[in-house]
Formats: sequence, C-alpha cells, structure tokens
Amino acid sequence: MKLLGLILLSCMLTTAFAEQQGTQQIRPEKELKTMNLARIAEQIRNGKIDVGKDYSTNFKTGRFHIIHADKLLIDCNNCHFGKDYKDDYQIMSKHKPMPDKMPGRLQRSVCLGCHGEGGIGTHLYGRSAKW
Amino acid sequence: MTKLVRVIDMERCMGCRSCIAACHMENHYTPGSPWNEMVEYENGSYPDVRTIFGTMACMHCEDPPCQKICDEIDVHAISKNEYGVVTVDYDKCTGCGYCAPVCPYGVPQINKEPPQALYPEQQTPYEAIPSAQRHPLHQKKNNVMEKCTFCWHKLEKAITAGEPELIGKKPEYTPSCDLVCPVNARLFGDIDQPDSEVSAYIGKKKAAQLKKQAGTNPQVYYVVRGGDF
Amino acid sequence: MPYNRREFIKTSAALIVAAKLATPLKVMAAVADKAKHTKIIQSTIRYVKSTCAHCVNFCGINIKMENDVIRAVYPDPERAAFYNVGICPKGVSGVFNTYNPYRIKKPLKRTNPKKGLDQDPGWVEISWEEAFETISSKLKAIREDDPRKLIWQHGHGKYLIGDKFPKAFAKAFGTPNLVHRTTTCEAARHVADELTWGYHGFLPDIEHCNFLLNFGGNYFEAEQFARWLDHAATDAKERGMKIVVIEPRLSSTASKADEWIPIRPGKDVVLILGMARLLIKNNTIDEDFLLGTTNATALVADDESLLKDKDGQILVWDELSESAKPFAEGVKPALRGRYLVDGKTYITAFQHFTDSIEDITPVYVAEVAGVPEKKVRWLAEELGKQAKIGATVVIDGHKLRYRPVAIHTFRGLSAKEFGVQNWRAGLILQMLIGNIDAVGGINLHSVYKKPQYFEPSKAEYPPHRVDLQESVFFPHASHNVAQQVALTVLDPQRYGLEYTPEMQIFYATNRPFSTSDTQKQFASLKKTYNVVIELVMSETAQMADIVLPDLTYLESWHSSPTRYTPRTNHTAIRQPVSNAYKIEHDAYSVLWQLAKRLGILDEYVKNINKQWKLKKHPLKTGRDYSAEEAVEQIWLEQSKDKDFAYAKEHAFIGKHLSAEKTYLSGVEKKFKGPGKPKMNFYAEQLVHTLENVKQQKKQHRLKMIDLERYRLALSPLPKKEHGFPTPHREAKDFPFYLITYKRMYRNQSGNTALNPILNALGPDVQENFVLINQKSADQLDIQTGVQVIVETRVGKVQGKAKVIEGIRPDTLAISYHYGQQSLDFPDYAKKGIWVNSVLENYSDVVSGMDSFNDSKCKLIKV
Repeated sequence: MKLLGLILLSCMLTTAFAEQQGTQQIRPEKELKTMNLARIAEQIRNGKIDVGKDYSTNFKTGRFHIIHADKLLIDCNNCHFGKDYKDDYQIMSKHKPMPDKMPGRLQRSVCLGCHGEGGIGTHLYGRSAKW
Repeated sequence: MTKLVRVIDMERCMGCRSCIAACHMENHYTPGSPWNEMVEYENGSYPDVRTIFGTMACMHCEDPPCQKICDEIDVHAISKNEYGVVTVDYDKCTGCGYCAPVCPYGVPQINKEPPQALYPEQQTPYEAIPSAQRHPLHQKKNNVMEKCTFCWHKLEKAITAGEPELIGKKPEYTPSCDLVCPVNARLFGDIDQPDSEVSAYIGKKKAAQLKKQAGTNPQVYYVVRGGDF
Repeated sequence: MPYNRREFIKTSAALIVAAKLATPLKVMAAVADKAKHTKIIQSTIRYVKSTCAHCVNFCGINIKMENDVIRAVYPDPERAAFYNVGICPKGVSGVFNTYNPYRIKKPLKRTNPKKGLDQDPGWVEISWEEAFETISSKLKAIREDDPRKLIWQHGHGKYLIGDKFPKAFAKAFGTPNLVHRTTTCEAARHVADELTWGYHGFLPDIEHCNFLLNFGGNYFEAEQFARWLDHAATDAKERGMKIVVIEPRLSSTASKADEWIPIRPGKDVVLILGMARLLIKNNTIDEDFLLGTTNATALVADDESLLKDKDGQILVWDELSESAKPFAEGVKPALRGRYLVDGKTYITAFQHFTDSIEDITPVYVAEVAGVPEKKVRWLAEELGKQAKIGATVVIDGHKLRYRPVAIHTFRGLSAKEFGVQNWRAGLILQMLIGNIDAVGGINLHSVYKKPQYFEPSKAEYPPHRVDLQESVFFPHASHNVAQQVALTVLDPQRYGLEYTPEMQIFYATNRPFSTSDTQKQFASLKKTYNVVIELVMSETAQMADIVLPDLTYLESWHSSPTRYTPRTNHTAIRQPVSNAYKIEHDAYSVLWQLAKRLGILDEYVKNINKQWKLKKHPLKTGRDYSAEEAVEQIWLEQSKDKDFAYAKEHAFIGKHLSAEKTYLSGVEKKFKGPGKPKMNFYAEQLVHTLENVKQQKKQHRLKMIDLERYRLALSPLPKKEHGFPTPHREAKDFPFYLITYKRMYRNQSGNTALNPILNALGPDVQENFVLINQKSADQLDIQTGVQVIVETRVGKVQGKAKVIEGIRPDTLAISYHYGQQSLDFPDYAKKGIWVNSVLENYSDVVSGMDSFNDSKCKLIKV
C-alpha cells in the first residue's frame, strides 16, 4: 500500500511539475491527492501534526525535512538534483555542497509549485508570473 | 520614493572578478561565505563559442522570500528598509538555514565555518579592527546568515549626510563592487528617478531581471544578450 | 572621545529636519536600535591617493585608511579621464600584498651551503649592519678585481623604484650587467618597431577605430595598457567598432570580440602575409603612403642590399627621368618593377615583397595556419574596406589621414622564436593600408627617437655583457636578454665572455621561475653569490646567500611610471601609507647604503641626475636623500615646479594631448616626403648585420653560430618560413602545440599566490589546469578534473585537465604563474602546474626574445 501510495505521489508530483512546464493535463486523482497534501499542510500549520520545534534544515531533527520529506513524503530526488548544477544555472554557491551531506544540489524551482501564489504551502514567492 | 537598483551589463563584463575582490575587502570577507560570485561558462561549441561572464549577489527583491520565511517562523531577522535594501540582523538570526533553500538565487550564506583569519592562524591589522569599531553589518558572527547588503554601511552615510541623491554617484556612497569595475559594467542608483542613469540604462539597453518566474521582483537588473544567461 | 551612534544620529536628525531632505525615521530608528546592542567605537577615516604597482598599468588608486590600518583600495576617479577607470582584483586586494605574514621582515643569511629548490637554506636572521657589511665587502673585492663580475637583475623592481637608480649604481660601480625582464615580455615587438621606425611602442587609436585586429593581445586578462584598453575597447565596441581576435585559445578578450579566429600557434605570420598578398592583388593599398613615407620604393640588389649613391643615400627609380635617384623634390618614385641600373637589375622593395609572398595563397594559409580559406579572404577584404584608403578627416582644424583600422598584438606575435619577423609582418601589413599614425589607426610612440636603430649591428664578439645583448649572438637585442644570463653564467667560455660572473643581485624579480627551460636557470644560481631583495621567500630568494626584505608599493615612495594613451599622458608619484612590519630599508635605501660604503656615492648621485635628467632640481652631493626627498626632486623637475604638496594630495597630473601632437609629430613629421629618412618597409640593416655575424663567426671560429638560423631570422622581409619555429620543425612525435597565457589573479613572483582575497575569487583560482578541447579530450578519454601529464622535449609536468570548447583541438594551454615551488610557502599557495619548467627555449636571435609559445608536447592520461 505504502509503495503504491509513494508511486502515486511521485506521479502526481511529476505531473504537477509538468504542469508548471506548461502541459495541461488535469486528472481527477490528482485533485484528490492535492487535497490530501493540502490537508496535511493545514494540519501542520495548526499544530495537529507535530513536526517539532527545531527550526533548522538538520536532516534528522529539523522541521524543514520533517515537513517535506517525512510528512509530505516528497522524494529526495524532487529537490536534490544530480551531482552538479550546470555551469549556466543562475545560482550562487553552486560549487559548495548545499546541503552539506546530501548528494546533489537543491533545485529551487520545485519550491515554487507549492509555495508560489495559490499553492498549498505557505505563500513565499511574490507575484509569480504564469509560465 | 526611492528604490535602489543595481545594473550589471554582461555585454561589457569581461570576467576580471574585481567586483568580487572589492566585496570581500569592503565587507570583511568570511572565508567560505562570499557575498558576490562569478558565474562563468561557455556558450556554443568550437569554434563558435564564447565565454559568458556574470556576477551574482543578493537581488534585494521587492518580495523577498527569505524575509517571508524568516517572519513565518517568527524570527524576524531579515528586514527590508525604505531604500529597498534587505539586511539581516546577526543577533536575531538563529542559523536555521531556511532562507538559503528558499532563495531562488541561492544568495544567503549560512556561515557555518569556525571563525578563521584570512591567513591561517595569523591575523592582519585589517582583521584586527575591533568588532565594536565596525559597522553592525560587519560584526560577523558564526552560525548566522550573511549576504550582500548593497554596501548599506556606505549608503547610510549618504542618507545621514543628507545627500541620498548622490548614492551611486559619489564613490563613498557607491557599493564597492560597482565602484571598481574597470570597464564600467556596473551601475547603482535610484530607479524611481526617471532621469537617473540606471533608469536610462535599463530602458535603453533592455536590462532584465533573472528568474522572473519566481516572482520575487529583484532589484538587480542584467543586460544580457538574447535572453536569460 | 567616542560617542555612540544614537547621539550622532539625534544631532544630525535635528539638523536634517531643518534641511530639505529628511532622513527616514524608520532608518534612523533601526540604526539607533542597533546602537543599543553594540557599542560603536569611532575611527578616523582618511583617503590617500597613490599609484598601484602590482603590474605595469600603474593605475591610480585611492587608499582608504581607518586610523592607521589600510582598510580598502579604490580607483582614483580623477585618473578616469586619463587612464584607468577601475582597478583589477590584484589592486583591490593590494592590502594583503602588504599585510602578509609570509613577508620577509629581517635580513637573512644562508647557513646551508647547498642551493636548490629542494634544499632548506637554513636561514638565520642577521642585522642590517651585518648584511650591508657582508654585501659591500664582497662588492668591494669584485670592484677591485673586475666590476663586470657583478650582475644586477630586476623585473618588477623597475616599477617599484625605477630602473634609473640601479642604472646609476651599475654605472658608478663599473658593471655593464644590468638586466631587465623585457625578453620575457615583448622585446621582439619592441625590436621590430625599432628596426622599422626607430623607437618602440604603439597603441591603437581606439577612439576612432572601426576595425581592430588583435593577434593574441589580451587586455582583459593581462597586458600593459590593459586598464585603458579594456574600457576604451568596450566603449568603442558599443560605438560600433568591430573586434577580431586571432589566437588559439578563447581568452576573455576573444570572448567579447565579434569574431574569434582560432589560429594554429605560431602561424600568424603566414596569415598576415596571406592577407598582404590579397590586398596587393586587389590593389587595395595606400600607394601615397608607401611612396611618400616608407622605403618600399628602395631598389634591392641581388645580394639583398639596397642601392645607394656615393653619399650613402638610398636610391629610388624616378619614373620621370627614368633613372635611379635619391628621393628628392621633383622625383616620382616607382613602387613596382625591375630596373636596370649600371648594367645590374634591381627590384623595388615593394615588388620584392610582392613576389616573395606570391605562393601564400588563401589555400596555403588555411592548410598551414588552420584558418578557413573563406575567412582569410574575408579578413583581407574587410581590412581593405574598413581602412578607407585615401580618406581624410578634420580634427581641431587639422586635415588628417583617416584609416580607422588597427592591428594590435602583445605577446601573441612577440613571444616566439620569430617574434621580430612576426611583428614586422604586422607593421608591413599596416604600411600597405597606410594606417600608421592615422586617425583610427595605430599611433606610434616617439618616432625615430633613436636613429641608430636603422644601423646594422656590430654583432660584437667577444660580448662585453653577460646577457650577450647586441653581441653576435643577439645582434639587435636592445632590451637585455633576461634568460641568457643564466646560460652564460653556466658556461662563460662557450660564449667568449672574458670574465666569470661572481655575484648577482636580484631585485623584485623571480627570473628563473619565469623564463623557459627553467632547470638551467636554477642551476646557474648555484654558481654565483646571490643577494635577493624580495617581499616573500620566492623561488629566487630561496637560492640566495643573503635575502633582504623590501617594502611594498603601499609602504614606499616612488616617482611612479605611468601609461600614456594616444591622447593623454600623465606624471605621477606613489606614496606610502604604512610600514606594516617596520622594515627599515627598501631597494632605494639599500642602493644608497651600498654606494656609500663602496665610496662611490658622489658618482652615484651624479649618475642619478643624468639618468633622471634632473637639470633644474638635481640631487646634491655631500648629503643623504631619503626616498621621499629624492621623489620630491624628481617631481619638481617633471612637473615643472609644481608644489610637492600637490603631489601628496593628488598623486598625479594629467595632460590631454593636442591632435597635432598625436597625429602630426610621428611619421608625418619624421618620414613623410622627399629628403627625409623613411620608415623601413624593407629592413636593410638586417642584411648587413648578417654580414657582420658571418664575419665574426669566421674570424673567431664560432662553432655554435648556426648561420642558417641567423640567415632566416635576419631576413629583411618576413616570409612564410617564419611560421615554422624550431620545435614545430623538429618535435615530430609531439602532437600537441603548447601555449601559455596569463590569468587575472596571479603574478609570477608568488606574493599573489599567498593573497587570501585573490585565492577566494572562485573555486578555480587557486590552481591552473591543462586546457584541452572537448573533441580531443573525448578521443583520449579525458574529463575535467582527471590528472594528466604534459611532456615536452624539455620535461614533464602533471596537473588537472579542464575540458573546454574554447581552444583548438590540436592545442593545449596552461597558464603560467602557478605551481610555486618555495619550501616556505603553505600548500594552498603551491597548487597548480609550473608550465615554465617544460617550455622549450629557442630565443629569437634578432631580439633575444624568450620564445614561450612555440613548444610542442604529448598528453598522457595518468
């Protein structure tokens, strides 16, 4: 069950990501899954799901990874891409490991999907343009 | 209104990294946590190839996600002042590291390295300048976030001297990276003044912001050839 | 009495509210808040103007002092109108050139008699008194025996105190052996200039240029005049100037160019001659210029000499009288053709040149130089078109020749076995289109200042100088032969030197580290007693017997050299803002002390006055002069009595030159028209130099003189054979060409390797790499980061590969000024590849130029 859930979640996230790229494919299951994630996000925000008080990116104890990896079950590879950024990627510090121990680099455009305008996560990014 | 912006003309930039050195010198560089970096790469394949040069530092966004997340977790270490400059309060920062992944440009530097002198184990008179003699933004601490401040310690002087219109014009009121460029590839000024040099440059040379889709509305503009770099 | 920021703000707030613009209360409150958390100590800020001396651009700088600490270095905005607009990262981080714990702080004496790069010298500190005593007693002995046995070598030292003080000392001491580093820079270019127009140095008139052909000059990463050329060329490009960069590697300069033509290393001369052939074929040449200003009309005999009358005047073929005459009023010289004079056939120099390049077709150029045939044609056509031959323009009321094209080079054409011929070809190409001293063309510096350069060389033997300058070995080497000193010291008899050098003083130079084939350079240092004046324990210092500390450019006085542009020049000083380690002497006071102890102080002072041309403000004998006092005298003389206080406040005086000075005081004045000497299209003096070389070889039975080599190098006209340096002809099993280049963040002397800011400019600045083309790398299964070995006929080096698109597939490039070897240096300052150690050295016999970029190599994956 868990495996199936994980696969479905991955598919859903992939499609969500693909939507960001401009493809227009709306599936009923996706809505259900989004609603599930939104519910989890809400429960984290109102404290029903306990994610601890450690405001850090520490892999074991920090809220950041507990929320995204443990509770929302976002796969590591969704954020951590490959080994290196391409040379022309518009990022500072692409030569330093970020985070320190986790393989690969942080793909920040993934954050936009949930944390942009109208997303299920806390709204962090301003007036996001429609791609 | 005053909105301070920087313009980096990548058509003119020749990759010398003087601006990087200037930032390090001006801001008491913390080894391992640069506030200004060079992004350099080849475009094309032999023999039709060119190297592109561009530098990145804090974009001082109008809607900074770093500030949003810091406020969200009730730390409030990051603030944006009336001149549009985004700064971090080292005393309030808890070093949680949230601002770093959230920034579309990877700007925040979480200074995790133990403090060290620029020359291993030997402090120079420059480093020996006591912390209390430095501007608060140069009173570096370990395990906090630090980043480009638009050389706020210089801009502040213009404001307290009552000469904010000279920001970007008088060397003492210009961020050091913008000051040292040997090919005049960088400008700094007030985009809200329609007759300012930066406004004219942005308009005439079609300067653009990087990663507009992130929606943070950065205050650093780039002149690029043929789209994003 | 320090008061806190809040009070300061309160006071100013009150004042500001009264003024027009009010400080936003939010800002004041925020800052005041800060004051609650941290106590602020006030400090005194002041700015001091000076001149940077990291390199030979001599940028104007504005130094920020916080109390007595050097806080930052900024560009001096006052100099922007005359030279530099900004400064480079070395200048910006100059603070750490001074604040450097690795600096030598006290004189040191060697206790381990064995010298070597792997030998710990066993330094002990000695007092200045002991150092001076030891050195001067050795000097005394040498002076009594044979003063020529002393060699003074400097490199960057010339720019720290000027070469005039060492020259004055060397003269007073009695040694001719003062050696500067020009043959590791661009000596070949200078000598080509001198043979052609009687002095050296040129700049493109960038302001008016529309088409710039740059053969390997790199004003974005290296080069003299770079801090002017960088912004001037960038502005000109925006104005519409087209830049073509011709070099094997995609430098930063090539990256910003309109066209990058990746030419095969060493073959530039073939391309230039190919272009000349096309221009002549299409008759896109400036006949007026050739006829009136050059000796292209001179008549060449079968033996390559020029036809002259009994008074030694060069004859031309007068089309009006159909006879050979000197070019005087009423004579119409022929540019082309063969003519019979007194039963012998003569050919005009121009015709001779045209015939000699007949087979350098675009197809040939493509085959040899690796430039596609279409590109060769396009280059020649574009050059001819853009040159606007015949056009004039009026500037400041003067009607001037307008030829808005320029050919520029630095080491690209010079640092080669045939460096002189390469640049001669460049000059000849420009004579064809008449852009010399034209508006938008190249602007020559002090034309015909030394007519003696038009004379053949005596090819002296035996040589009187240890570097063999202007001897039979390097007959036109007028700028010393830096790399030869070591070779002569190793075997003086081989070169006929009548004395054996005993002592060398090195001032601010890392000579043996910076030349080619470096093992021999270091071996020679074992043969002499060495005194090294340096900032840090460089490789040269490690080979010293006595090391003396030096002051940095932020700690010392100098009448600073400057860089002129076609329309400006300036006079400048350098003044100290610190003495970080309380070092009592620099090279200036060391020389003064030595002169005193040797009893030659008066002679030294007289020579100083002569060298610096101090007529109104000479140094007086019978008293001492501190560096500041000496600089004051020089300033008063050079500025024509401007107050020294002005120098201390502004550090320079800038001057804008008139159009007349820029465009009409050069070839127009010295060469143009009947009855005047002519620019050497045909360098006849080389023909007679060769005769003198032959004579000397015969007379003194000089086996090591390879006449074929000299015949080829001393050709009066460049030819295609000059595109085939010795390693290209001989190193058959070495498939890759090896070239070197400079990066922005390092100098050769090693003090930049220690600079923490320069080492923090990115992850790629602490070391250098073997640059290899992607396709070649794929063939050899090499990726970025893997260890590779580069092997030349001299030796092997190992380092990391970096796979790029921006280099020819048949070429590898390794930057120099990495791979430091000093035992004293920390590991982080010793990374990278010491490419100099494997470069082949086939010096240009004409100029003595060290050939850096002719090597061939193998590449092996480790």
